[in-house]
Amino acid sequence: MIYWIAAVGIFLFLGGITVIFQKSIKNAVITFGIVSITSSLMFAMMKAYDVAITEASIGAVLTTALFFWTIKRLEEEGYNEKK
Amino acid sequence: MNNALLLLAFPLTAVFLIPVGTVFYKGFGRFLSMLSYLAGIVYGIYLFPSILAGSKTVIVGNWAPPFGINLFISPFSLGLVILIFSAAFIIMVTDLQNKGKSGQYYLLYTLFVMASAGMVLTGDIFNLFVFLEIGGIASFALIAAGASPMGSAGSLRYLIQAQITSLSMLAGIILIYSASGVLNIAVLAQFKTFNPAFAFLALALLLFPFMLESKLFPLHTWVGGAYLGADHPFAASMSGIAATAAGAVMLRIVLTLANPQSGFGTAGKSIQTMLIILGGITVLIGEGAAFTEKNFKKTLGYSSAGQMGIIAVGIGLATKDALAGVLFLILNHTAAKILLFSVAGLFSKVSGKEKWADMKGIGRIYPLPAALFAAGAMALFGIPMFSGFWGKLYVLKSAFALGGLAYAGAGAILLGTIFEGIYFMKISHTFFEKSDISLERKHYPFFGIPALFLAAVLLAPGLFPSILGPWVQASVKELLNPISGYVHIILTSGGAM
Amino acid sequence: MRRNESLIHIAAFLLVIGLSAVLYAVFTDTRPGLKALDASLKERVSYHYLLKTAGNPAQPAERKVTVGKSGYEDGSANIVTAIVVDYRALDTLGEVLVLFAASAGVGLLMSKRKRKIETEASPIVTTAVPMIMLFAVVVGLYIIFHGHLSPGGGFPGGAIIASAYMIQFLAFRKKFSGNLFKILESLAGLGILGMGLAGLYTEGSFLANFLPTGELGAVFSAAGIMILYALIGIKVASELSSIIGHFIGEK
Repeated sequence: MIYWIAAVGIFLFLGGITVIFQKSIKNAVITFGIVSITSSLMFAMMKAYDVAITEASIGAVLTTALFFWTIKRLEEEGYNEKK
Repeated sequence: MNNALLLLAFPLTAVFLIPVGTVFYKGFGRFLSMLSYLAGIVYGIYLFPSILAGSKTVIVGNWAPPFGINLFISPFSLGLVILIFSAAFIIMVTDLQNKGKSGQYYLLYTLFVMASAGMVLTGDIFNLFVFLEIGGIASFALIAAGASPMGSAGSLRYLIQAQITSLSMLAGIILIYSASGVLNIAVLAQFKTFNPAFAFLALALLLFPFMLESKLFPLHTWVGGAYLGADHPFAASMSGIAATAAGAVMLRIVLTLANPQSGFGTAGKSIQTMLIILGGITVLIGEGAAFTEKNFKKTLGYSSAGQMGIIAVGIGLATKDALAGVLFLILNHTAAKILLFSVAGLFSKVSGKEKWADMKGIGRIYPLPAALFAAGAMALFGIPMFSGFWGKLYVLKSAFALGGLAYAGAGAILLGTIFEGIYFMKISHTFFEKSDISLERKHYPFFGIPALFLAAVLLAPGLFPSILGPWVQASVKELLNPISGYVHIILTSGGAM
Repeated sequence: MRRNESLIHIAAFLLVIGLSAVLYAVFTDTRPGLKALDASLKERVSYHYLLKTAGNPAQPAERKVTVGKSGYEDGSANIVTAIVVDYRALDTLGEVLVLFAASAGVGLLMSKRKRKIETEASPIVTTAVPMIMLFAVVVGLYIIFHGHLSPGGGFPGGAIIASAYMIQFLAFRKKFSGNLFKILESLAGLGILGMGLAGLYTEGSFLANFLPTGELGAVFSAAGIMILYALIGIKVASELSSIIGHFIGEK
């Protein structure tokens, strides 16, 4: 089990670094969602089921959606990622 | 005695009722929030005589410390809570920019006041963190809601810095819990010995957010943007309410949690030295920045940083005289800053300008507010007859008595005070200068009475320091004898571990 | 602005230097005294939460907490819920207020605007979404009402119900009025405050348990936890829904 936890931990670390170095904001948000759902798995592996459920519902679903709505609003206000 | 929790329940009731009420009547938020502060003040004053006779603890959820959360009602904390509620009430009354403020503004403002009062009262470091978060989230929104377009930028800067420091506080709480297994301040205040370096790290992490709130160097960089962005009433509350609460929490952490007999031992002493050094630097940097600043709100914000620097030096000295000075200074700073910000709000409303240099001659049209501004400035400067004089005198007296590093702190305070005097004199002079400014004079009845009251609050303890005597003596006694006072009262009121 | 930014860099640099110096000192310090992770299990307050002996810490330590028995000081089978809603209930009230402040702040700052692009959702989405929604709402309600028995509680359950509202919006573009959420939030908040005050006037302490704790593991047990979690669930669901509504921000 400890090896699985270590593997997921390394994945989380690499995912976090990937989020920072993404060029496009949308890709970064999607990667962030993946990191969130993986960290929820991590919490479940560490037997913190309460935290895992909360992280899965808020971290992975709601914040990702809110980020996308924010990006959409910014685009409607004239923000363009390519510039 | 557990009824004293009503002090927090009054604003909470207002918070939950405001969204319903504003659906039916728009002005409900302002009315109800003011009513809740008034209820807090009246209840606090009603409790005060019995608390002055002996401090009490409030147990939440019937779980005795260290298992449950407890609040501590003492002359010190209750006095500051009454001060916070009164400050909020006066800021609301003198708010001349209240047109068009929605119910949510008042909801967030009441949450901010409740969180500040909770920070002063609580006896548990994690509960302290929760109140800090409530106050923080409310502050971000309130700064960004300010009229100026710079609001969002200032709020974002404050948000990032405040979130980093509150994460550091969480790290400090985790370190303390993993080393000791308890979160209660009273239990930690007489715990087994911690490793000195570890204790210093934990305490410093724990203090960061409160150093940010009180604008101590190097955590003062948010001041410019946030004060520029916030509207006048909330700028007044940031220095009048948030800084007061932060000062009270710093006193609690440095003198009660890390008292010399506690397991933190010498780390508490090092933290005090750190506060003297940082406070001295803050006085110089804050007053220097205020000296060169042209924007009215930013000037007052940086001057507030300077005042908090003096308070930090006083906390670091931690002698009987210095603490009495700190209490005088906290009262003086709160009242004076509210007075100055409300005058600044009035002047920028009637003239439509943001820089004090553009308000030349406005004092000839509004003589009373300009005179009150001069009075508030003199109180901050520490002219005799004002409470600020006694505060600075006591702090300097004990600094010169201690010697060593305290000399440097005293020197910084004196140098900063000179700067402070010069720029406040310059501003007051500008108001009365002859100019061709032509403004129609309007009457604001809700401005004059509270402003005169604030000036009286500044004058009365300065002329007759004995008015505050019982409160100051009881508070200093409580802060300097944590084991026989604070710890004893909390741990004997219910079962101990 | 430029001067201000360099000030921030200097401040951050000084902070990092200072913190690393202190961290180095912590790792190399060999003086005696407690360091991180030095608290043994029995010294921690959570040990007494686990054994349900916080009200009377002197009880024998070998005591076992078994499902089906009654008479514990706190009847919740889920120990996290026992800590969150009973032992440290004031912190939970605080967390509810943090979310409340966030929702009110979003409402204060976000402006409404007209929608520019209008696209219909495809039939596949409109057929699948009601099923997913039903599933999400049922799971959310289960998590809320079994908070004292199984993992979860008012916060995640409310979030799941709010995400059902979000999926519904994506498919059908139906929006409830903001006032409905405001009133729901307030009533739930007043309910939590009322539970606290009821504890104050019956048991003499704010947020104290005043209902019977019941049999450990039964559906109707653990005193007021189920009521509190139901109120928190309503509050969280309506707050997150109103935040979602503000982010969509359409007229």
